[in-house]
Amino acid sequence: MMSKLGFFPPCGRISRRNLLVDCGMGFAGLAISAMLHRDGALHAESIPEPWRPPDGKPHFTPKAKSVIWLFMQGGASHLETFDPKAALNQYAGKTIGDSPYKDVLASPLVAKGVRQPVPEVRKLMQTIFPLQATYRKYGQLGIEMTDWWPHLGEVVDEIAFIRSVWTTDNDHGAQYQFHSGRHFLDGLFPSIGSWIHYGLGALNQNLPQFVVLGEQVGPCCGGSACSGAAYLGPQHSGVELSVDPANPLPFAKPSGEVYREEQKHEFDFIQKLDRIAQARYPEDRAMAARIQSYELAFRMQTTVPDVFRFREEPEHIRKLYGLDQEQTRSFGERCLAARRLVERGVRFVQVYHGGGALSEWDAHSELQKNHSKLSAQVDLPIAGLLKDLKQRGLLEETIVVWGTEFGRTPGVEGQRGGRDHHPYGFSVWMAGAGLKRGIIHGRTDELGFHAVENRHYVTDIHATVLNLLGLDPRRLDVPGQKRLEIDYGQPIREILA
Amino acid sequence: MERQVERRFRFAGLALLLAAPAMLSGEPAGLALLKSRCVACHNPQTTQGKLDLTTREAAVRGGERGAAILPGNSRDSLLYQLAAHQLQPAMPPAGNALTPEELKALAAWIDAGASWSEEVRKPASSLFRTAVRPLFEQHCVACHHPGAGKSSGFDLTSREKLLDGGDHGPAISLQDAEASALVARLRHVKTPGMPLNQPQVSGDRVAKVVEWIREGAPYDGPIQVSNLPTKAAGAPHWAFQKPARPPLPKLSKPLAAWSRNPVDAFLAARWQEKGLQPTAEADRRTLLRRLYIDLIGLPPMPADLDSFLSDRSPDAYEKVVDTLLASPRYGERWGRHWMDVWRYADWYGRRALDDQRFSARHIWRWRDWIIESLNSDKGYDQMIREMIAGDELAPNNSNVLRATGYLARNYHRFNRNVWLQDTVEHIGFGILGITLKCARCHDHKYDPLSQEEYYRFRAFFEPYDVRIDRVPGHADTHDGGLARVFDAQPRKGSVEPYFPPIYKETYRFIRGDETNPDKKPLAPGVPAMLGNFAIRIEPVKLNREARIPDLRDFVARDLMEQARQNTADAELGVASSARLLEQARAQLAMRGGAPSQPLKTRKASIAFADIQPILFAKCRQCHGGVSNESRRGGLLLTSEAGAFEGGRRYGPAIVAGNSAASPLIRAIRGEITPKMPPEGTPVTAAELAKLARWIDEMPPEDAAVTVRKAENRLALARKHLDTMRLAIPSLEARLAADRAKYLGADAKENAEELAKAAVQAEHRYALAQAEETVLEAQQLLAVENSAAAKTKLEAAIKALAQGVGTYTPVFEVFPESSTGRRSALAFWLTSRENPLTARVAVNHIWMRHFGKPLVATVSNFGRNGARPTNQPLLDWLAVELMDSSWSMKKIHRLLVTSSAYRMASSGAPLSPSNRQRDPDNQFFWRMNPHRMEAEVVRDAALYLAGSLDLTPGGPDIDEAQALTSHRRSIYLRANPESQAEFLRLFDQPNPTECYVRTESVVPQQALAASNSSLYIEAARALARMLSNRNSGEEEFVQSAFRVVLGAPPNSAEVAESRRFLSEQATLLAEPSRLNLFSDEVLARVRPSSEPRLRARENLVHALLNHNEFVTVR
Repeated sequence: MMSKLGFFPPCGRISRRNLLVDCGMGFAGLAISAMLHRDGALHAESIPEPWRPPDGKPHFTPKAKSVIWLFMQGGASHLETFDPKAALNQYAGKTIGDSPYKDVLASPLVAKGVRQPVPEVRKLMQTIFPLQATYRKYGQLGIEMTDWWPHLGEVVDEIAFIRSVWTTDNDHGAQYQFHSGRHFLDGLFPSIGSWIHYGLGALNQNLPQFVVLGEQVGPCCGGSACSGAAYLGPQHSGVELSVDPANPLPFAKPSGEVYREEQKHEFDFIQKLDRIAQARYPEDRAMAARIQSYELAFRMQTTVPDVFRFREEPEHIRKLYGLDQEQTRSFGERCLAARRLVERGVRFVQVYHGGGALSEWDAHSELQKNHSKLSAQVDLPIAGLLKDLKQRGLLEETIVVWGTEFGRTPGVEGQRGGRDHHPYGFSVWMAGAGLKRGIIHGRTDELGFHAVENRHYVTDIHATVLNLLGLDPRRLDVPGQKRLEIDYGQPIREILA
Repeated sequence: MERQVERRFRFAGLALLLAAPAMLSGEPAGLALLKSRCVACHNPQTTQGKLDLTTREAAVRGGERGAAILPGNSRDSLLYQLAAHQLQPAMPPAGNALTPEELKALAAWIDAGASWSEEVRKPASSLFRTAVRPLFEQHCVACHHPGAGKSSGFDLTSREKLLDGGDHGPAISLQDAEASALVARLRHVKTPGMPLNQPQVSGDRVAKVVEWIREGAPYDGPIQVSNLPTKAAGAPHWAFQKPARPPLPKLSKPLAAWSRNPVDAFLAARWQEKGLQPTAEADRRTLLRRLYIDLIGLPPMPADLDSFLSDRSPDAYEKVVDTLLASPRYGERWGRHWMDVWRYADWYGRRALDDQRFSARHIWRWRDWIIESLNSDKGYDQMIREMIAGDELAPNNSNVLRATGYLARNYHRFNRNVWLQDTVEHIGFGILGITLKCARCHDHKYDPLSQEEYYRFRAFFEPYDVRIDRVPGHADTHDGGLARVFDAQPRKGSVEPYFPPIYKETYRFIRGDETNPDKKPLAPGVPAMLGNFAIRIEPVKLNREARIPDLRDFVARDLMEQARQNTADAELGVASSARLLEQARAQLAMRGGAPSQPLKTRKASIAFADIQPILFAKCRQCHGGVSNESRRGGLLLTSEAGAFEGGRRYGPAIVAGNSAASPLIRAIRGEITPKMPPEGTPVTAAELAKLARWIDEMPPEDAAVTVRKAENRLALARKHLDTMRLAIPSLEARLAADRAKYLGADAKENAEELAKAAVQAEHRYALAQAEETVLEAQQLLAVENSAAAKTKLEAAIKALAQGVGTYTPVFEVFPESSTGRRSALAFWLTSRENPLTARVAVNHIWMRHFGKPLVATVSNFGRNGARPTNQPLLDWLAVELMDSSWSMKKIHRLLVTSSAYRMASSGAPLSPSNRQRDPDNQFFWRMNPHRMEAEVVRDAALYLAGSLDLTPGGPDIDEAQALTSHRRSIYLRANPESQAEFLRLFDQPNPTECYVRTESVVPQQALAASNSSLYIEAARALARMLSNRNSGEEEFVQSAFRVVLGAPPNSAEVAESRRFLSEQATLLAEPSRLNLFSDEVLARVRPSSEPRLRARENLVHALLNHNEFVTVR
């Protein structure tokens, strides 16, 4: 395995060369048999079958069908979003050591909670920086959040906030960690979307089941491994679609005088030939992936362009997502596309915000300018998405997750009003099927430094999502692929309805 | 600033410290200073400047500059003068000047007779070598070497630096060794304990350090950072040591018999250790297809296969290898690989506005140089040298100059620092395999590389700039030229015309922030961890032709030819305007002079609003009117009136009611040149039809208006001709004046006369230009333009009358010499002493043959990179490359003729124990199968269909033509802003950075292969070709499989194929029952109207979509 992602910039769209050039020694033919089972095409004697992969059925009764996974690239401040702290304003300008909360620095978590290749690369930001946004209580339950999220404030009673998430990477490799549960120095592991894809398969055979919208994470920080399937096989990786009604997908139809029936028959023939060849190379996972990619491609010719026909939506819906405003249009289109995808039975939609390699939320300076602008780009569309899902009844079967790689330091960084990366405690929220509504779970200390109550590592978010989808992560295991205890996570029972 | 204050303070502290025990022990402060600040370099071992300062006699005797100390006379003592910076070089060196207090102490001591209380420096005992140095190397130096960021400003690589101490004060006390901070930290009695976050070193080892300090802390020489141990092993990092050729390993009998060459032997040696077995040889068909695609990027044709299969001679395979390596296709295949590593990118920016912002125009010449160099097997070292310093090594050889496209590619219009950053960092990644990049903002966290060293590396490139030299046949360097680099004079940047700044000096940017440079200018230097062999910088004198390339004969010839051509064009313009006027008058006469009524009777079915999206999509970048630039030829297509009015020079874009005569339509159809749109997506047939209908339904213009416009146009054309006629003598005179200036050594007077004549001729031309502008402005009735034009005219009249000023030179003149920095670096990079260059190169070559590199992190051989899976093999190959005059073909041959290369990848029975022991095939016990690279996916289909155009070289082909052009993919334009979609989907690399390609499987690839016109056309063409030769179905199926997949079908495949052919023919026999995807005809090869043949086309198309077509096994 080529494990040093950070120094191994992938050049194409998807970095899985190692998986494909290597024909899947170790657990031969698993992916193929998974697929062939589904298609009823497996000849039992032709392929060795040491272990049976998931059959596409949940392990227990699911509460949700689909997931919309919103991810803010660069690290949105928990303090200026969903975990505002009065103490920051009160002790602004003092060092943490001079404040009544100096013990946060002595916490063993400071030394041990973060895994850096070389110690002390990042300094602790000592001077307390006041909140850059005003805040107040929203909703019937009076949930405190900043005023940069007025629209979300209108639906705050739908949301379960988790204010006590932590991670271990102090750099943007944490983007990869948030999606895989593993530190990026560990190598490539399946992302949460690919686990779900692997475990549950298709709701709709005409669209990719795991779709990625928005700018892919930069190669520094995991790149497409953030939606990659690693050893699960590339057919379980996210498919990038472009939110462009005019060109969602290149080569979407044959160029020139081809009959639909003619093409259908030819596709069937290609598949037959590939399956004959597959008997010669039963261990070739790339081949299995290619067979599947052709099946999907055939159907996507009609289904994908349909998803992005936003003009079909009535005016009030387009407005609801902010398609009528310059600053919200781009993310609004992604949110609307996400709804249209889950409506059509897509299992997992990963929606990025923040410019890919630019990691826009990374406010090392001028946090106020940066976060107020970015919040305004996403607040209305996300609120619109929740409202729209609710009015359609889709919120009863869909989970919406809002996350980011880490929070930002209570202390100021540099001379120009920034906050540094902060992995010790930050906020994530979830809403929808099977979840409690209008609840705050977990707590950081008075400075927002450490998650101190009901601490959750990022895989607890994964486990919660899997649980709601009716999956037991241990039963998804692949023999020969060692997972750590922490990889599985624990469902956050307190927020389950 | 803060740091300086701090330093001063620290030195003052040191002086006090030195003074205090001196008073106690009776040692004068001046002598203490000498001990602490001078003796490290001036002792019997080192004797810098042949000076030894350890004894009084030696100091008085002095070195190469005479006595160092005149006892009793500090003022005339050389030592004092150097220390007081009255003489050069200032001492102590590197900014460690003595403070005024210290200087005073030194003077006082000399004036008092320079008494020596004892021998200053004992010879270094073995203690340092055996105990202290290993301790320092293993635990300390990684952080505490010059400039290291985490080191609290403390450096212990030399005695002098050790005595300097760090930000926390002195590290050792020579008087009280036990009380030294260094010792306290090693014992963890002072925090933070050292080594930081690591277990304490043993008490014995610390005791030795104490003893050594008591001895006076002698060094036997500075500690080299290149000898630093790796973190894990405690040995120096493997990659920073020069590779040596390892002995061939001893193999067991069966493995020795299996092994064909040293590549096999080194692999097999690892298998012996790991208990692995080699896999059986691949069958000959698989092997040949693998070899063809690997070496030339194209699959074998059936005839190639047949001849190989029938050749039973023992060297049949080797013969094919030699043939393929000799093929010009080899250079194209491997050129593409190296273009990944060297970041080839065609120029980009706002292409439609011809606004180059990144990379360089005509950089394709570098691509051709790469291909040609590989084909001629130019040494890798020579290639690197020419790419980095071709302009210094062969300043007059335009073939070599092309190589410097490697540096021209980094051109970045908006930021000189980003430009140099890319240059430095990608030489690090691509050639050296080190992550220099990390040290831009801080000392490297893993490798012993300081931030200062990063900027010293940058200094090699500080003066370089890009220019476009003329090439024969192109008077305008926009149209044709040679992008090459040269060392420019320092200058401020300018916006219009745009020039980037060239900085005089290189500075370290504090925390990488370009707005915060350090004070000290840095000289060029290479990272100490790799050694500074071969670095000798000597300026390169450039001869006249290199300095003034425009002196070459063809330049004047081409410029004159262009001026004459402009005149001829202007004459044609007059003729065509006259004809237009005649036609317009005839029209008017026919109407009897009566103004025609706008035809409102025929209702236009297409409004401007309907065609506006087409014009917007296809024409806005040139005719959108956003700025002057986007109003090419004066034509504005944002309104109906604009289109109707047309450009001032070329007339109306549309002729109302007559699309066939409208230049807009004719240009789109390619009936007149240039064809429109010149770049990007062409106008589709449906769009063209819509545009034509819009024009045809348009009421014609009032004839009287047409006549007036035509009269104006003719007047302007005549004026333009006058101008062009005056351009010729102006150019001629300027050329003559320039030539006299630079060639005529003895014709000074003549040169002055010619210069005067040039001034006059140019003034006359300028006057004509001004008159033309005035006329144009008047015709446009643009008041503002008119006023500006008139001012210009008055100035031109005045200038001509007075005859003063200077003429505009034609020739560009460049500096007389180049700094020689880059050639020094190039020789360092390609020196046999360089531990990395050859290793990195063979690793890249290996990866592309075997599907996986020997060092997984191909662009990072540093301490945080992966270890080689087989270092002896890597080193042997690296030395072999250097010993073979860096011939890459030798290495290719060695690799592909090995037994290892010939092993099966899949399909054959693979050893279960191998799979268990090395599931990832890290040790290459089988071949790795892989998917064809994007370019091969495209080229192979065209090639098999007989339609690949093998024309080599030349300007880049617009990526929009990827599906219509039949040239090899390497010639298609690629840059970070645009790439051929087809290739991008198959993981063509991002031209910003690609050291390892990726291989994905996504549905979009299936769509590209099944739906693109490229594949559909190839399938139809190939099916017809095969059908002509094979009438029977079985025969056809057999040959189709052989051609496309390189192997005959098995019985199941034959049966499936025959069933498909018959069912598909039946289906296609009743087209009325079928539904077309769309009416648009995009593929240029239409489907056969004969159902059986069309079914065969489908079969070939299916095979091109077969997994085994894109897979190389």
